[in-house]
Amino acid sequence: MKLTVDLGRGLVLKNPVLLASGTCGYGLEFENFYPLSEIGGICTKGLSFESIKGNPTPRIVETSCGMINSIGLQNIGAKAFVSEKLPELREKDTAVIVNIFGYSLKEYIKVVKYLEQFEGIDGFEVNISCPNVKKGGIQFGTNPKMTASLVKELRKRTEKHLMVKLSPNVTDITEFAKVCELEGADSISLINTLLGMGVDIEKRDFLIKRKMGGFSGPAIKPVALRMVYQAVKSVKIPVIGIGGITNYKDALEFLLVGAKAVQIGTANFFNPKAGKEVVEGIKSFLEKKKINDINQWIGSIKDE
Amino acid sequence: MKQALLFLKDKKTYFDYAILTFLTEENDFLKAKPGNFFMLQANTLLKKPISVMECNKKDKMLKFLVKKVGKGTEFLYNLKPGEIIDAVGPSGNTFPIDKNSEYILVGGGSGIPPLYFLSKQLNKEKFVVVYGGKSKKDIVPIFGKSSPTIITTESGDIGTKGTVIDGIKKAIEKKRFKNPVILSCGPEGMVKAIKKYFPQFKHYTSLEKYMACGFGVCLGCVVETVDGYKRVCVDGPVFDIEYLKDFL
Ligand SMILES: Cc1cc2nc3c(=O)[nH]c(=O)nc-3n(C[C@H](O)[C@H](O)[C@H](O)COP(=O)(O)OP(=O)(O)OC[C@H]3O[C@@H](n4cnc5c(N)ncnc54)[C@H](O)[C@@H]3O)c2cc1C
Ligand SMILES: Cc1cc2nc3c(=O)[nH]c(=O)nc-3n(C[C@H](O)[C@H](O)[C@H](O)COP(=O)(O)O)c2cc1C
Ligand code: FES
Repeated sequence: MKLTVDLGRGLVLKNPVLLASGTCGYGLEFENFYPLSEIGGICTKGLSFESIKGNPTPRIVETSCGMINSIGLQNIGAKAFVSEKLPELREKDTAVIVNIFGYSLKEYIKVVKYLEQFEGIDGFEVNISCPNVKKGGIQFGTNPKMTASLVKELRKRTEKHLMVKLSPNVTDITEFAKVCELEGADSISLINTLLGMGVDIEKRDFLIKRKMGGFSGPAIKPVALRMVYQAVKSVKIPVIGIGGITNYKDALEFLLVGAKAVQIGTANFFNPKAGKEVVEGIKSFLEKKKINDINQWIGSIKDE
Repeated sequence: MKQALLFLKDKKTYFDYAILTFLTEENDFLKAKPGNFFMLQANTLLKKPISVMECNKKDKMLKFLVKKVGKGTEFLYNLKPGEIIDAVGPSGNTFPIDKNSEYILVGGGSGIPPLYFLSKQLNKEKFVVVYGGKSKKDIVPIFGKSSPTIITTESGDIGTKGTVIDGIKKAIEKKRFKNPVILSCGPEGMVKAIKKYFPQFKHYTSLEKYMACGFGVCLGCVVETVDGYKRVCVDGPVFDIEYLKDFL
Protein backbone atom coordinates (compact mmCIF):
# COMPACT_ATOMS: atom_id res chain seq x y z
CA MET A 1 0.00 0.00 0.00
CA LYS A 2 1.43 3.35 -1.05
CA LEU A 3 0.56 6.27 1.18
CA THR A 4 3.32 8.68 0.19
CA VAL A 5 2.37 12.02 -1.29
CA ASP A 6 4.67 14.46 -3.06
CA LEU A 7 4.03 18.09 -2.19
CA GLY A 8 6.78 19.40 -4.45
CA ARG A 9 10.29 20.82 -4.14
CA GLY A 10 11.51 17.74 -2.33
CA LEU A 11 8.84 17.58 0.33
CA VAL A 12 7.58 14.02 0.20
CA LEU A 13 5.40 12.82 3.06
CA LYS A 14 5.29 9.15 4.03
CA ASN A 15 1.55 9.59 4.49
CA PRO A 16 -0.79 12.53 4.01
CA VAL A 17 -1.39 13.24 7.72
CA LEU A 18 0.17 16.26 9.39
CA LEU A 19 -0.46 17.86 12.78
CA ALA A 20 -1.62 21.48 12.49
CA SER A 21 0.30 24.45 13.79
CA GLY A 22 -0.56 25.57 17.31
CA THR A 23 -2.14 22.25 18.21
CA CYS A 24 0.98 20.13 18.60
CA GLY A 25 3.48 22.47 20.25
CA TYR A 26 6.87 21.63 18.79
CA GLY A 27 5.79 18.05 18.21
CA LEU A 28 7.79 16.26 20.90
CA GLU A 29 4.93 16.13 23.41
CA PHE A 30 3.16 13.65 21.13
CA GLU A 31 5.83 11.02 21.61
CA ASN A 32 3.99 10.25 24.85
CA PHE A 33 1.10 8.98 22.77
CA TYR A 34 2.69 7.50 19.62
CA PRO A 35 6.03 7.67 17.77
CA LEU A 36 6.11 10.71 15.48
CA SER A 37 7.33 8.39 12.74
CA GLU A 38 3.74 7.15 12.38
CA ILE A 39 2.56 10.40 10.80
CA GLY A 40 3.56 12.36 7.71
CA GLY A 41 4.83 15.34 9.63
CA ILE A 42 4.20 18.16 12.03
CA CYS A 43 3.68 21.90 11.62
CA THR A 44 5.26 23.67 14.58
CA LYS A 45 3.64 26.36 16.65
CA GLY A 46 3.98 29.66 14.74
CA LEU A 47 7.51 31.01 15.15
CA SER A 48 8.57 34.61 14.93
CA PHE A 49 12.15 35.84 14.98
CA GLU A 50 11.83 37.23 18.50
CA SER A 51 9.79 35.40 21.13
CA ILE A 52 6.19 36.60 21.60
CA LYS A 53 4.52 36.82 25.00
CA GLY A 54 0.98 36.19 23.76
CA ASN A 55 -2.44 37.52 24.71
CA PRO A 56 -3.99 38.04 28.14
CA THR A 57 -6.33 35.34 29.54
CA PRO A 58 -8.92 33.85 29.26
CA ARG A 59 -7.61 32.70 25.91
CA ILE A 60 -9.81 29.72 25.14
CA VAL A 61 -13.42 28.67 25.42
CA GLU A 62 -15.45 25.75 24.15
CA THR A 63 -18.48 26.42 21.93
CA SER A 64 -20.96 24.04 20.29
CA CYS A 65 -18.79 21.48 18.50
CA GLY A 66 -15.80 23.78 18.48
CA MET A 67 -13.65 26.20 20.38
CA ILE A 68 -12.43 29.78 20.18
CA ASN A 69 -8.80 30.60 20.89
CA SER A 70 -6.90 33.81 21.29
CA ILE A 71 -3.38 32.61 22.07
CA GLY A 72 -1.77 35.53 20.24
CA LEU A 73 1.08 33.51 18.75
CA GLN A 74 2.96 33.05 22.00
CA ASN A 75 6.21 31.34 21.01
CA ILE A 76 9.80 30.88 22.08
CA GLY A 77 11.32 32.61 19.04
CA ALA A 78 13.28 31.16 16.12
CA LYS A 79 16.66 30.99 17.86
CA ALA A 80 15.38 29.14 20.90
CA PHE A 81 13.53 26.76 18.59
CA VAL A 82 16.74 25.93 16.77
CA SER A 83 18.77 25.41 19.93
CA GLU A 84 16.17 23.79 22.22
CA LYS A 85 13.75 21.86 19.99
CA LEU A 86 15.21 21.22 16.54
CA PRO A 87 18.11 18.94 17.59
CA GLU A 88 15.70 16.40 19.05
CA LEU A 89 12.96 16.97 16.50
CA ARG A 90 15.13 16.41 13.45
CA GLU A 91 16.09 12.95 14.73
CA LYS A 92 12.47 11.90 14.35
CA ASP A 93 11.51 10.13 11.18
CA THR A 94 8.83 12.63 10.18
CA ALA A 95 8.65 15.87 8.17
CA VAL A 96 9.23 19.04 10.16
CA ILE A 97 7.39 22.01 8.69
CA VAL A 98 8.09 25.22 10.52
CA ASN A 99 5.13 27.57 10.72
CA ILE A 100 6.34 31.16 10.65
CA PHE A 101 4.88 34.53 11.38
CA GLY A 102 5.87 38.20 11.43
CA TYR A 103 4.26 41.51 12.28
CA SER A 104 5.68 43.04 9.09
CA LEU A 105 7.15 41.99 5.76
CA LYS A 106 10.62 42.63 7.19
CA GLU A 107 10.01 40.29 10.11
CA TYR A 108 8.69 37.49 7.88
CA ILE A 109 11.85 37.81 5.81
CA LYS A 110 14.06 37.84 8.89
CA VAL A 111 12.69 34.60 10.30
CA VAL A 112 12.85 32.78 6.95
CA LYS A 113 16.38 34.01 6.27
CA TYR A 114 17.51 32.83 9.68
CA LEU A 115 15.85 29.39 9.55
CA GLU A 116 16.80 28.74 5.93
CA GLN A 117 20.33 27.66 6.94
CA PHE A 118 19.27 24.80 9.21
CA GLU A 119 19.01 21.20 8.19
CA GLY A 120 16.12 19.27 9.60
CA ILE A 121 13.60 21.89 8.59
CA ASP A 122 11.76 20.34 5.65
CA GLY A 123 9.67 23.34 4.73
CA PHE A 124 8.01 26.55 5.79
CA GLU A 125 4.33 27.14 6.34
CA VAL A 126 3.73 30.87 6.18
CA ASN A 127 0.92 31.94 8.47
CA ILE A 128 -0.80 34.91 6.82
CA SER A 129 -4.07 34.21 8.52
CA CYS A 130 -3.85 34.54 12.30
CA PRO A 131 -6.85 36.48 13.62
CA ASN A 132 -5.30 36.94 17.06
CA VAL A 133 -2.81 39.73 16.65
CA LYS A 134 -3.42 43.41 16.09
CA LYS A 135 -1.14 43.91 13.14
CA GLY A 136 0.53 41.66 10.59
CA GLY A 137 -0.66 38.12 10.06
CA ILE A 138 -4.17 38.33 8.76
CA GLN A 139 -3.58 41.61 6.91
CA PHE A 140 -1.24 39.68 4.62
CA GLY A 141 -3.96 37.08 4.16
CA THR A 142 -6.92 39.31 3.38
CA ASN A 143 -5.35 41.73 0.91
CA PRO A 144 -4.23 39.95 -2.29
CA LYS A 145 -1.63 42.59 -3.10
CA MET A 146 0.04 42.08 0.27
CA THR A 147 -0.17 38.30 -0.13
CA ALA A 148 1.55 38.61 -3.50
CA SER A 149 4.43 40.75 -2.30
CA LEU A 150 5.02 38.59 0.77
CA VAL A 151 5.12 35.31 -1.19
CA LYS A 152 7.34 36.89 -3.82
CA GLU A 153 9.86 38.15 -1.26
CA LEU A 154 9.94 34.87 0.67
CA ARG A 155 10.33 32.82 -2.50
CA LYS A 156 13.49 34.77 -3.30
CA ARG A 157 14.96 33.78 0.06
CA THR A 158 14.28 30.09 0.43
CA GLU A 159 15.10 26.91 -1.39
CA LYS A 160 12.93 24.95 1.00
CA HIS A 161 9.33 24.00 0.39
CA LEU A 162 7.13 27.09 0.76
CA MET A 163 3.57 26.44 1.91
CA VAL A 164 1.26 29.41 2.42
CA LYS A 165 -1.55 29.10 4.96
CA LEU A 166 -4.67 30.92 3.85
CA SER A 167 -7.37 32.64 5.84
CA PRO A 168 -11.03 31.70 5.44
CA ASN A 169 -12.00 35.23 6.41
CA VAL A 170 -12.16 36.38 2.78
CA THR A 171 -14.90 36.59 0.14
CA ASP A 172 -13.13 34.72 -2.65
CA ILE A 173 -10.53 32.15 -1.60
CA THR A 174 -9.55 31.37 -5.20
CA GLU A 175 -8.13 34.87 -5.64
CA PHE A 176 -5.61 34.19 -2.85
CA ALA A 177 -4.85 30.67 -3.99
CA LYS A 178 -3.99 31.93 -7.48
CA VAL A 179 -1.82 34.75 -6.17
CA CYS A 180 0.25 32.27 -4.14
CA GLU A 181 0.70 29.98 -7.11
CA LEU A 182 1.70 32.86 -9.37
CA GLU A 183 4.33 34.16 -6.95
CA GLY A 184 6.00 30.80 -6.53
CA ALA A 185 4.48 29.07 -3.52
CA ASP A 186 4.95 25.30 -3.63
CA SER A 187 1.66 24.55 -1.89
CA ILE A 188 -1.18 26.19 0.02
CA SER A 189 -2.79 25.03 3.24
CA LEU A 190 -6.27 25.98 4.40
CA ILE A 191 -8.20 26.84 6.42
CA ASN A 192 -6.88 28.72 9.40
CA THR A 193 -9.45 29.56 12.06
CA LEU A 194 -12.62 31.56 11.36
CA LEU A 195 -13.03 34.78 13.28
CA GLY A 196 -15.48 34.04 16.09
CA MET A 197 -16.85 35.37 19.36
CA GLY A 198 -18.62 34.18 22.49
CA VAL A 199 -20.41 35.97 25.33
CA ASP A 200 -21.73 35.05 28.80
CA ILE A 201 -25.32 36.15 29.51
CA GLU A 202 -24.91 35.72 33.29
CA LYS A 203 -21.78 37.84 33.58
CA ARG A 204 -22.76 40.12 30.64
CA ASP A 205 -19.19 39.77 29.46
CA PHE A 206 -17.10 38.34 26.67
CA LEU A 207 -15.85 34.78 27.11
CA ILE A 208 -12.32 35.55 26.03
CA LYS A 209 -10.30 38.58 27.00
CA ARG A 210 -9.66 39.96 23.53
CA LYS A 211 -13.37 39.46 22.68
CA MET A 212 -12.81 37.82 19.27
CA GLY A 213 -10.70 34.80 18.49
CA GLY A 214 -10.10 31.91 16.11
CA PHE A 215 -12.96 29.44 15.78
CA SER A 216 -11.89 25.84 15.11
CA GLY A 217 -13.00 22.25 15.54
CA PRO A 218 -15.66 19.95 14.00
CA ALA A 219 -18.09 22.87 13.59
CA ILE A 220 -15.96 24.47 10.85
CA LYS A 221 -15.50 21.36 8.70
CA PRO A 222 -18.17 22.11 6.07
CA VAL A 223 -16.75 25.60 5.50
CA ALA A 224 -13.23 24.19 5.28
CA LEU A 225 -14.24 21.42 2.87
CA ARG A 226 -15.96 23.93 0.58
CA MET A 227 -12.95 26.25 0.53
CA VAL A 228 -10.46 23.45 -0.03
CA TYR A 229 -12.54 22.25 -2.97
CA GLN A 230 -12.66 25.76 -4.44
CA ALA A 231 -8.91 26.15 -4.02
CA VAL A 232 -8.20 22.77 -5.62
CA LYS A 233 -10.27 23.83 -8.63
CA SER A 234 -8.39 27.09 -9.05
CA VAL A 235 -4.71 26.10 -8.87
CA LYS A 236 -2.32 23.31 -9.89
CA ILE A 237 -0.05 23.38 -6.83
CA PRO A 238 -0.93 20.97 -3.98
CA VAL A 239 -3.61 22.02 -1.51
CA ILE A 240 -3.42 20.85 2.11
CA GLY A 241 -6.82 20.56 3.79
CA ILE A 242 -7.37 21.74 7.36
CA GLY A 243 -10.47 22.31 9.46
CA GLY A 244 -12.42 20.16 11.87
CA ILE A 245 -10.79 16.85 11.00
CA THR A 246 -11.28 14.46 13.91
CA ASN A 247 -11.14 11.00 12.33
CA TYR A 248 -10.08 9.11 9.20
CA LYS A 249 -13.44 9.66 7.50
CA ASP A 250 -13.08 13.43 7.76
CA ALA A 251 -9.56 13.15 6.35
CA LEU A 252 -10.76 10.98 3.45
CA GLU A 253 -13.38 13.63 2.58
CA PHE A 254 -10.74 16.33 2.16
CA LEU A 255 -8.54 14.00 0.12
CA LEU A 256 -11.52 12.99 -2.03
CA VAL A 257 -12.17 16.60 -3.10
CA GLY A 258 -8.53 16.96 -4.05
CA ALA A 259 -6.45 17.89 -0.99
CA LYS A 260 -3.04 16.23 -1.29
CA ALA A 261 -2.58 16.07 2.46
CA VAL A 262 -4.48 17.06 5.59
CA GLN A 263 -3.68 18.62 8.94
CA ILE A 264 -5.29 17.68 12.23
CA GLY A 265 -5.79 20.57 14.65
CA THR A 266 -8.19 20.84 17.55
CA ALA A 267 -8.73 17.05 17.61
CA ASN A 268 -5.19 16.68 19.00
CA PHE A 269 -6.39 18.34 22.19
CA PHE A 270 -9.23 15.98 23.04
CA ASN A 271 -7.77 12.90 21.36
CA PRO A 272 -3.97 13.08 21.36
CA LYS A 273 -3.82 9.81 19.43
CA ALA A 274 -5.87 11.29 16.57
CA GLY A 275 -2.91 11.57 14.16
CA LYS A 276 -1.97 7.94 14.43
CA GLU A 277 -5.60 6.79 14.33
CA VAL A 278 -6.29 8.78 11.15
CA VAL A 279 -3.32 7.18 9.38
CA GLU A 280 -4.45 3.69 10.42
CA GLY A 281 -8.04 4.44 9.46
CA ILE A 282 -7.09 5.68 5.99
CA LYS A 283 -4.95 2.59 5.44
CA SER A 284 -7.64 0.08 6.33
CA PHE A 285 -10.26 2.00 4.36
CA LEU A 286 -8.14 1.89 1.21
CA GLU A 287 -7.42 -1.80 1.78
CA LYS A 288 -11.12 -2.50 2.00
CA LYS A 289 -11.74 -0.53 -1.20
CA LYS A 290 -8.82 -2.34 -2.87
CA ILE A 291 -7.07 0.93 -3.66
CA ASN A 292 -3.31 0.44 -3.43
CA ASP A 293 -2.14 4.02 -3.85
CA ILE A 294 -3.54 6.98 -1.91
CA ASN A 295 -2.95 9.14 -4.99
CA GLN A 296 -5.73 7.21 -6.74
CA TRP A 297 -8.13 8.38 -4.05
CA ILE A 298 -7.00 12.01 -4.01
CA GLY A 299 -9.33 14.15 -6.13
CA SER A 300 -11.36 11.16 -7.29
CA ILE A 301 -14.77 12.62 -6.49
CA LYS A 302 -17.38 12.27 -9.25
CA ASP A 303 -17.36 15.84 -10.46
CA GLU A 304 -18.54 16.87 -13.88
CA MET B 1 1.67 10.79 30.46
CA LYS B 2 -0.55 8.48 28.45
CA GLN B 3 -3.99 8.25 26.86
CA ALA B 4 -5.99 5.23 28.02
CA LEU B 5 -9.35 4.04 29.35
CA LEU B 6 -10.83 4.24 32.82
CA PHE B 7 -13.49 1.81 34.00
CA LEU B 8 -15.90 3.14 36.60
CA LYS B 9 -16.05 0.63 39.43
CA ASP B 10 -17.92 2.57 42.06
CA LYS B 11 -19.64 5.90 42.58
CA LYS B 12 -20.84 7.69 45.69
CA THR B 13 -22.65 11.01 45.60
CA TYR B 14 -22.95 13.73 48.23
CA PHE B 15 -25.17 16.68 47.21
CA ASP B 16 -23.41 18.22 44.14
CA TYR B 17 -20.33 16.03 44.53
CA ALA B 18 -19.53 12.56 43.25
CA ILE B 19 -16.64 10.35 44.29
CA LEU B 20 -15.67 8.28 41.28
CA THR B 21 -13.54 5.17 41.70
CA PHE B 22 -12.01 3.93 38.46
CA LEU B 23 -9.90 0.93 37.52
CA THR B 24 -7.22 1.12 34.85
CA GLU B 25 -4.78 -1.17 33.09
CA GLU B 26 -2.41 1.70 32.24
CA ASN B 27 0.60 1.54 34.57
CA ASP B 28 1.63 5.14 33.88
CA PHE B 29 -1.77 6.29 35.16
CA LEU B 30 -0.91 4.76 38.53
CA LYS B 31 2.18 6.92 38.96
CA ALA B 32 -0.01 9.92 39.82
CA LYS B 33 1.18 12.23 42.62
CA PRO B 34 -0.75 14.77 44.72
CA GLY B 35 -1.38 17.85 42.54
CA ASN B 36 -1.48 15.78 39.35
CA PHE B 37 -4.68 15.73 37.33
CA PHE B 38 -6.22 13.88 34.40
CA MET B 39 -8.13 15.17 31.42
CA LEU B 40 -11.34 13.15 31.62
CA GLN B 41 -13.66 12.60 28.67
CA ALA B 42 -17.13 14.06 29.14
CA ASN B 43 -19.97 14.88 26.74
CA THR B 44 -18.16 18.06 25.76
CA LEU B 45 -15.72 18.44 22.88
CA LEU B 46 -12.75 19.06 25.17
CA LYS B 47 -11.85 16.81 28.07
CA LYS B 48 -12.16 18.16 31.62
CA PRO B 49 -9.23 18.60 34.03
CA ILE B 50 -9.90 16.76 37.33
CA SER B 51 -7.39 16.27 40.15
CA VAL B 52 -6.44 12.88 41.49
CA MET B 53 -7.83 12.26 44.95
CA GLU B 54 -6.37 8.83 45.51
CA CYS B 55 -4.16 6.47 43.55
CA ASN B 56 -3.49 2.88 44.46
CA LYS B 57 -1.06 0.84 42.39
CA LYS B 58 -1.90 -2.49 43.96
CA ASP B 59 -5.60 -2.25 43.20
CA LYS B 60 -5.01 -0.38 39.90
CA MET B 61 -7.36 2.24 41.25
CA LEU B 62 -7.75 5.98 40.66
CA LYS B 63 -10.23 8.07 42.61
CA PHE B 64 -11.63 11.52 41.74
CA LEU B 65 -13.99 13.94 43.44
CA VAL B 66 -16.11 15.89 40.97
CA LYS B 67 -18.36 18.86 41.69
CA LYS B 68 -21.05 19.45 39.10
CA VAL B 69 -20.87 23.04 37.91
CA GLY B 70 -21.64 22.73 34.19
CA LYS B 71 -22.22 20.38 31.28
CA GLY B 72 -19.02 18.36 31.47
CA THR B 73 -18.87 17.85 35.21
CA GLU B 74 -22.58 16.96 35.26
CA PHE B 75 -21.84 14.19 32.74
CA LEU B 76 -19.09 12.85 35.00
CA TYR B 77 -21.38 13.13 38.03
CA ASN B 78 -23.99 11.02 36.23
CA LEU B 79 -21.64 8.24 35.09
CA LYS B 80 -22.76 4.78 36.13
CA PRO B 81 -20.60 1.94 37.41
CA GLY B 82 -19.55 -0.22 34.47
CA GLU B 83 -19.17 2.74 32.12
CA ILE B 84 -15.81 3.46 30.48
CA ILE B 85 -14.27 6.82 29.64
CA ASP B 86 -11.16 7.96 27.83
CA ALA B 87 -8.52 9.86 29.83
CA VAL B 88 -5.19 11.63 29.35
CA GLY B 89 -2.69 12.00 32.17
CA PRO B 90 -1.29 12.20 34.72
CA SER B 91 -0.37 15.80 34.09
CA GLY B 92 1.14 18.57 36.18
CA ASN B 93 3.64 18.98 38.99
CA THR B 94 3.30 18.18 42.68
CA PHE B 95 3.61 19.98 46.02
CA PRO B 96 7.16 20.60 47.27
CA ILE B 97 7.36 18.73 50.57
CA ASP B 98 10.19 18.33 53.03
CA LYS B 99 9.99 16.16 56.12
CA ASN B 100 10.78 18.83 58.69
CA SER B 101 8.27 21.51 57.74
CA GLU B 102 4.78 21.94 59.13
CA TYR B 103 1.93 22.29 56.69
CA ILE B 104 -1.52 23.79 56.65
CA LEU B 105 -3.53 22.35 53.76
CA VAL B 106 -6.35 24.74 52.89
CA GLY B 107 -9.06 23.82 50.41
CA GLY B 108 -12.61 24.56 49.46
CA GLY B 109 -15.10 23.06 47.00
CA SER B 110 -13.48 21.14 44.17
CA GLY B 111 -10.06 22.19 45.51
CA ILE B 112 -9.97 19.57 48.24
CA PRO B 113 -9.00 16.40 46.25
CA PRO B 114 -5.26 17.13 45.74
CA LEU B 115 -4.93 18.11 49.41
CA TYR B 116 -6.71 14.96 50.52
CA PHE B 117 -4.28 12.91 48.40
CA LEU B 118 -1.32 14.80 49.89
CA SER B 119 -2.57 14.44 53.48
CA LYS B 120 -2.35 10.65 53.17
CA GLN B 121 1.39 10.96 52.58
CA LEU B 122 2.24 13.34 55.44
CA ASN B 123 3.07 12.65 59.08
CA LYS B 124 -0.01 13.42 61.23
CA GLU B 125 2.01 15.55 63.63
CA LYS B 126 3.20 17.77 60.83
CA PHE B 127 0.03 18.98 59.17
CA VAL B 128 -3.55 20.04 59.57
CA VAL B 129 -6.26 20.35 56.91
CA VAL B 130 -8.55 23.36 56.85
CA TYR B 131 -11.62 22.45 54.80
CA GLY B 132 -14.00 25.34 54.10
CA GLY B 133 -17.38 25.79 52.43
CA LYS B 134 -20.64 27.71 52.44
CA SER B 135 -22.55 25.02 54.30
CA LYS B 136 -22.48 21.35 55.13
CA LYS B 137 -23.40 20.60 51.50
CA ASP B 138 -19.89 21.66 50.50
CA ILE B 139 -18.08 19.50 53.04
CA VAL B 140 -17.80 16.01 51.62
CA PRO B 141 -17.11 13.55 54.45
CA ILE B 142 -13.88 12.11 53.10
CA PHE B 143 -11.48 12.76 55.97
CA GLY B 144 -11.55 10.13 58.68
CA LYS B 145 -11.72 10.96 62.42
CA SER B 146 -8.02 10.30 62.83
CA SER B 147 -7.02 12.86 60.22
CA PRO B 148 -6.29 16.31 61.70
CA THR B 149 -9.02 18.40 60.04
CA ILE B 150 -10.64 21.72 60.84
CA ILE B 151 -13.92 22.34 59.07
CA THR B 152 -15.30 25.85 58.59
CA THR B 153 -18.63 26.83 57.03
CA GLU B 154 -20.12 30.27 56.47
CA SER B 155 -23.52 28.99 57.67
CA GLY B 156 -22.02 27.24 60.70
CA ASP B 157 -24.21 24.15 60.20
CA ILE B 158 -21.10 22.03 60.47
CA GLY B 159 -17.65 22.80 61.93
CA THR B 160 -16.60 26.29 62.98
CA LYS B 161 -18.74 29.17 61.73
CA GLY B 162 -16.58 31.39 59.53
CA THR B 163 -14.16 31.15 56.65
CA VAL B 164 -10.92 29.28 56.09
CA ILE B 165 -9.12 32.33 57.54
CA ASP B 166 -10.69 31.53 60.94
CA GLY B 167 -9.77 27.90 60.34
CA ILE B 168 -6.12 28.72 59.70
CA LYS B 169 -5.95 30.87 62.88
CA LYS B 170 -7.41 27.99 64.84
CA ALA B 171 -4.99 25.52 63.27
CA ILE B 172 -1.96 27.60 64.22
CA GLU B 173 -3.16 27.93 67.81
CA LYS B 174 -4.07 24.31 68.25
CA LYS B 175 -0.98 22.84 66.66
CA ARG B 176 1.41 25.52 67.98
CA PHE B 177 2.92 25.75 64.49
CA LYS B 178 5.73 28.34 64.44
CA ASN B 179 6.35 28.77 60.75
CA PRO B 180 3.92 26.63 58.80
CA VAL B 181 3.86 26.37 55.01
CA ILE B 182 0.44 26.94 53.48
CA LEU B 183 -0.67 24.68 50.62
CA SER B 184 -3.94 25.89 49.12
CA CYS B 185 -6.35 24.95 46.36
CA GLY B 186 -9.66 26.65 45.76
CA PRO B 187 -11.41 29.76 44.46
CA GLU B 188 -9.17 32.74 43.67
CA GLY B 189 -10.93 34.90 46.25
CA MET B 190 -10.12 32.40 48.99
CA VAL B 191 -6.46 32.16 48.01
CA LYS B 192 -6.14 35.95 47.85
CA ALA B 193 -7.67 36.29 51.31
CA ILE B 194 -5.22 33.75 52.74
CA LYS B 195 -2.29 35.59 51.22
CA LYS B 196 -3.60 38.89 52.63
CA TYR B 197 -4.05 37.59 56.20
CA PHE B 198 -0.95 35.43 56.34
CA PRO B 199 1.67 37.13 54.15
CA GLN B 200 4.43 35.95 56.50
CA PHE B 201 4.05 32.25 55.60
CA LYS B 202 5.49 30.45 52.61
CA HIS B 203 2.49 29.63 50.42
CA TYR B 204 2.07 27.31 47.44
CA THR B 205 -1.25 27.23 45.63
CA SER B 206 -2.70 24.87 43.05
CA LEU B 207 -4.43 26.83 40.27
CA GLU B 208 -7.49 26.02 38.19
CA LYS B 209 -7.59 27.41 34.64
CA TYR B 210 -9.68 26.65 31.61
CA MET B 211 -7.77 23.99 29.65
CA ALA B 212 -8.00 22.69 26.10
CA CYS B 213 -5.26 20.04 25.97
CA GLY B 214 -3.89 19.53 29.48
CA PHE B 215 -0.47 18.43 28.21
CA GLY B 216 1.29 21.62 27.27
CA VAL B 217 0.63 22.22 23.58
CA CYS B 218 -2.26 24.69 23.25
CA LEU B 219 -0.99 27.53 25.50
CA GLY B 220 -4.57 28.23 26.53
CA CYS B 221 -4.11 27.70 30.26
CA VAL B 222 -1.32 30.18 30.98
CA VAL B 223 -0.91 32.28 34.11
CA GLU B 224 1.20 35.41 34.37
CA THR B 225 4.26 34.97 36.57
CA VAL B 226 7.26 37.13 37.33
CA ASP B 227 9.00 35.13 34.55
CA GLY B 228 6.23 35.69 31.97
CA TYR B 229 3.39 33.37 31.05
CA LYS B 230 3.63 29.79 32.34
CA ARG B 231 1.38 26.85 31.47
CA VAL B 232 -0.74 25.78 34.43
CA CYS B 233 -1.11 22.26 33.02
CA VAL B 234 2.55 21.31 32.88
CA ASP B 235 4.54 24.06 34.63
CA GLY B 236 1.91 23.98 37.40
CA PRO B 237 -0.75 23.60 38.64
CA VAL B 238 1.20 24.14 41.91
CA PHE B 239 3.02 27.49 42.09
CA ASP B 240 4.81 29.48 44.77
CA ILE B 241 2.39 32.35 45.30
CA GLU B 242 5.24 34.89 45.29
CA TYR B 243 5.79 33.92 41.68
CA LEU B 244 2.25 34.74 40.50
CA LYS B 245 1.49 38.26 39.26
CA ASP B 246 -2.23 38.01 40.10
CA PHE B 247 -1.37 37.57 43.77
CA LEU B 248 1.38 40.19 44.15
C1 LIG C 1 -5.79 21.39 37.31
C2 LIG C 1 -7.28 21.37 37.60
C3 LIG C 1 -7.78 20.47 38.51
C4 LIG C 1 -9.16 20.42 38.79
N1 LIG C 1 -9.60 19.49 39.67
C5 LIG C 1 -10.92 19.37 39.90
C6 LIG C 1 -11.43 18.34 40.76
O1 LIG C 1 -10.67 17.55 41.32
N2 LIG C 1 -12.76 18.25 40.94
C7 LIG C 1 -13.62 19.12 40.32
O2 LIG C 1 -14.83 18.98 40.52
N3 LIG C 1 -13.19 20.09 39.50
C8 LIG C 1 -11.86 20.24 39.27
N4 LIG C 1 -11.42 21.24 38.40
C9 LIG C 1 -12.38 22.16 37.80
C10 LIG C 1 -13.09 21.50 36.62
O3 LIG C 1 -12.15 21.18 35.64
C11 LIG C 1 -14.14 22.46 36.03
O4 LIG C 1 -15.14 22.66 36.99
C12 LIG C 1 -14.77 21.87 34.78
O5 LIG C 1 -13.84 21.91 33.72
C13 LIG C 1 -16.01 22.63 34.37
O6 LIG C 1 -16.54 22.06 33.18
P1 LIG C 1 -18.10 22.02 32.92
O7 LIG C 1 -18.29 21.62 31.50
O8 LIG C 1 -18.79 21.22 33.93
O9 LIG C 1 -18.54 23.52 33.16
P2 LIG C 1 -18.55 24.74 32.16
O10 LIG C 1 -19.91 24.79 31.56
O11 LIG C 1 -17.38 24.72 31.27
O12 LIG C 1 -18.33 25.91 33.20
C14 LIG C 1 -19.11 26.07 34.37
C15 LIG C 1 -18.43 27.10 35.25
O13 LIG C 1 -17.13 26.64 35.67
C16 LIG C 1 -16.09 27.53 35.25
N5 LIG C 1 -14.96 26.71 34.75
C17 LIG C 1 -14.92 25.96 33.62
N6 LIG C 1 -13.76 25.33 33.47
C18 LIG C 1 -13.01 25.69 34.52
C19 LIG C 1 -11.70 25.36 34.93
N7 LIG C 1 -10.89 24.55 34.23
N8 LIG C 1 -11.26 25.88 36.07
C20 LIG C 1 -12.04 26.69 36.77
N9 LIG C 1 -13.27 27.04 36.46
C21 LIG C 1 -13.76 26.56 35.35
C22 LIG C 1 -16.70 28.34 34.14
O14 LIG C 1 -16.13 29.63 34.06
C23 LIG C 1 -18.16 28.41 34.54
O15 LIG C 1 -18.39 29.45 35.46
C24 LIG C 1 -10.05 21.32 38.13
C25 LIG C 1 -9.54 22.23 37.21
C26 LIG C 1 -8.18 22.28 36.93
C27 LIG C 1 -7.65 23.26 35.94
C1 LIG D 1 -5.12 26.87 20.11
C2 LIG D 1 -4.81 27.03 18.65
C3 LIG D 1 -3.60 27.65 18.25
C4 LIG D 1 -3.30 27.82 16.91
N1 LIG D 1 -2.11 28.41 16.56
C5 LIG D 1 -1.77 28.52 15.24
C6 LIG D 1 -0.51 29.06 14.84
O1 LIG D 1 0.35 29.40 15.68
N2 LIG D 1 -0.24 29.18 13.51
C7 LIG D 1 -1.14 28.79 12.56
O2 LIG D 1 -0.86 28.90 11.36
N3 LIG D 1 -2.34 28.25 12.90
C8 LIG D 1 -2.68 28.12 14.21
N4 LIG D 1 -3.90 27.54 14.57
C9 LIG D 1 -4.85 27.12 13.52
C10 LIG D 1 -4.80 25.61 13.25
O3 LIG D 1 -3.53 25.21 12.78
C11 LIG D 1 -5.88 25.18 12.23
O4 LIG D 1 -5.65 25.85 11.01
C12 LIG D 1 -7.28 25.50 12.69
O5 LIG D 1 -7.43 25.28 14.07
C13 LIG D 1 -8.36 24.71 11.95
O6 LIG D 1 -8.20 23.31 12.11
P1 LIG D 1 -8.98 22.44 13.23
O7 LIG D 1 -10.45 22.73 13.08
O8 LIG D 1 -8.63 21.02 12.92
O9 LIG D 1 -8.46 22.88 14.53
C14 LIG D 1 -4.22 27.37 15.92
C15 LIG D 1 -5.41 26.74 16.32
C16 LIG D 1 -5.71 26.56 17.66
C17 LIG D 1 -7.01 25.88 18.03
S1 FES E 1 -4.09 23.23 28.65
FE1 FES E 1 -3.06 23.27 26.76
S2 FES E 1 -1.14 24.12 27.31
FE2 FES E 1 -2.14 23.90 29.19
